[in-house]
Amino acid sequence: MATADTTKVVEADDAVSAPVRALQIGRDYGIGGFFFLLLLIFSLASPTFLSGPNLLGILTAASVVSLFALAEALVVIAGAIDLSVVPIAALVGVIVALSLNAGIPVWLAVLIGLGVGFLCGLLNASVIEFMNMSSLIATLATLTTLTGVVLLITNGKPIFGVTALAPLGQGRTLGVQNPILVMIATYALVGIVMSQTKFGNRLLAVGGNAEAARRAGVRRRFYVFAPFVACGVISAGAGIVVLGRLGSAQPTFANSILFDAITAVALAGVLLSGGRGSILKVLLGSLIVATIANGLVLLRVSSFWTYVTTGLLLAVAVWADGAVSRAIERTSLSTEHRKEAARA
Amino acid sequence: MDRDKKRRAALAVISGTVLVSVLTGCANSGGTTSVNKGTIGFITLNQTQEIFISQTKAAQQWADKNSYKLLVGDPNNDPLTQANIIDGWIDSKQVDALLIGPVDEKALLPSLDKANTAKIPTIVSSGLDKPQNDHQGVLVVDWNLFGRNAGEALAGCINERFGGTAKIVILDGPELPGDIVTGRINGELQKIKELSPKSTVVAQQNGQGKRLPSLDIMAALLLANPDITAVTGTNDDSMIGVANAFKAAGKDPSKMCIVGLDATEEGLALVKSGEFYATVDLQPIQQILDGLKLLNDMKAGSVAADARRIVVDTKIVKATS
Repeated sequence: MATADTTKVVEADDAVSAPVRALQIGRDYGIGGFFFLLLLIFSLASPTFLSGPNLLGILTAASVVSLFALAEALVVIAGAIDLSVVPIAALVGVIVALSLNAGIPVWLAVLIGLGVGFLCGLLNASVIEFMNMSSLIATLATLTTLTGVVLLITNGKPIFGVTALAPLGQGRTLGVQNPILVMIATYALVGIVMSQTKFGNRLLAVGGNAEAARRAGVRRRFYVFAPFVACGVISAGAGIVVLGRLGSAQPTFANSILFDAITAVALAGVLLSGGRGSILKVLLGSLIVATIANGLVLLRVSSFWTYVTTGLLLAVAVWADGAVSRAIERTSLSTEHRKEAARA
Repeated sequence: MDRDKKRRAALAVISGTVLVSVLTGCANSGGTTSVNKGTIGFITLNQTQEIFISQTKAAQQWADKNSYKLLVGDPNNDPLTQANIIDGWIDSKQVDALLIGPVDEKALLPSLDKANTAKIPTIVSSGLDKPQNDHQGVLVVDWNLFGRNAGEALAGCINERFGGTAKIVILDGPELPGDIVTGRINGELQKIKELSPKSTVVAQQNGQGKRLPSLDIMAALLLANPDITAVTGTNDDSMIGVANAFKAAGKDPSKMCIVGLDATEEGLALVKSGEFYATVDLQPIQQILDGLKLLNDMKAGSVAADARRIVVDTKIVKATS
């Protein structure tokens, strides 16, 4: 009798958990599938698309956006948002350029730049934590303030003729552009920290439910500061890469960069309310954004379509992620009910 | 808890001090003078691009020298914000004169009517062909001519370096209302067709007027069409991205045809170094100084309609210029 009962429960388990598993697979690997679909479509439409130089070109173009997306993802996983990543990068670019022009060695100038990013992240977290502001408003204020500070420092003019960082931005190692290597190294480092350390687990826990994490003994305040500081440092890294690529420090960046970064994060299925996110998928999200831009240029499609496509993707990604998550929740609940019924 | 309160109080004091210092600094930097001839409301497209910041700086220096106070507005490329700022200045009687670089001249017509009703001398820099009323002066900037100059320079370069045949890329954008960007692009296309008929425009993409997106777009285009040799577009900034893309593709920009617009400091340096074949100078500082001088004359007394129309000169700047 006991055996029969157990079999019933196991059968019920298998029957109802299959759809859950299918949905989870869809959520976990859907972005990868979509990326390969894009590659397939563009490679059929343009003979140049799948060429080695073009693929490296996509990766180079993605390198800056992906760093911003990574910075943003860490904050979003923690249940917040940072709108100031782009002006932080602009400020760092300008400070590093001025340092280099003042004769400071490259390594020290880069260190100063990363330090400025660290301080900007610290400032954002302090305002949020000690002034009880929402991250949206606090970083909106930082965005505006830093934009003004950069314009005041530069008088609105780019600082050009900065060649010391050209090897970083324009050089190659084993045939691969160095910005790509910076991107890979940064993602590998953050990926390991997020998946292999307690820090990653606790950051996810605080993002998912800060109060529950605090009760479990997690130092909540540290996990408010850490992602913003990391975000500031990674944004600073992006600013240094841009400085290297262009050989000049820009007081303002193109408006589309922040939007592209947030789109990449949303495409990656990082829960915008915090608590869930995969670093590898953020990289894939960034590659998707860069691939669409590149593919449409190769096909000579009006760039206005890039806006349309990216905007629609953002909406569809967030909607699909929510729909799949709700379906998983419903199906899981139904599984529990069936298990209970089987046990009864 | 007490510690939190103390921290918050300390933050409030620091924030207050910073705010007061900033405001005091701003008030001092306004350049108050003993004899104030009035306040000029000065508003261009934005206060984030090099060209407009330089204009504002020149206007501030002129105002300080001529005993005016300058009130600067930043519409951030938005026509509605620009209209709101100007309406606010007029309604609250904050300005005695206006110098406006319209984001969209058509969207600004009600505000210009309001300035006329209030009898406020107003200079409109670009967008209008002639003064619409007795209190208005215009700086006539022909954006199409500006673009035609760029097109002429590009065609000249193609004829000189490539025997009159080239694959051309146009990088347009950012998306602004009015004629500022479309005028340039249409002018370029017109002159290219006229002076280099054997050349083909293989792509027209949005470089957003910025060098980083222009660099990425150009890098992709060079892979699909390695024989692209000529590029122009909206401004110097996007062409700097193009020059970098040529370099990244292992090509020497000084052997290509790159023509910028705006004659920024960096653009002029690239013309000198040979990376740009040319840039087109709109003389942005001179046009603002001419406009302010006209405004001063209009404030002093009536100026004939003909004299209230100044045509802004544009010129092609080459390394040999």
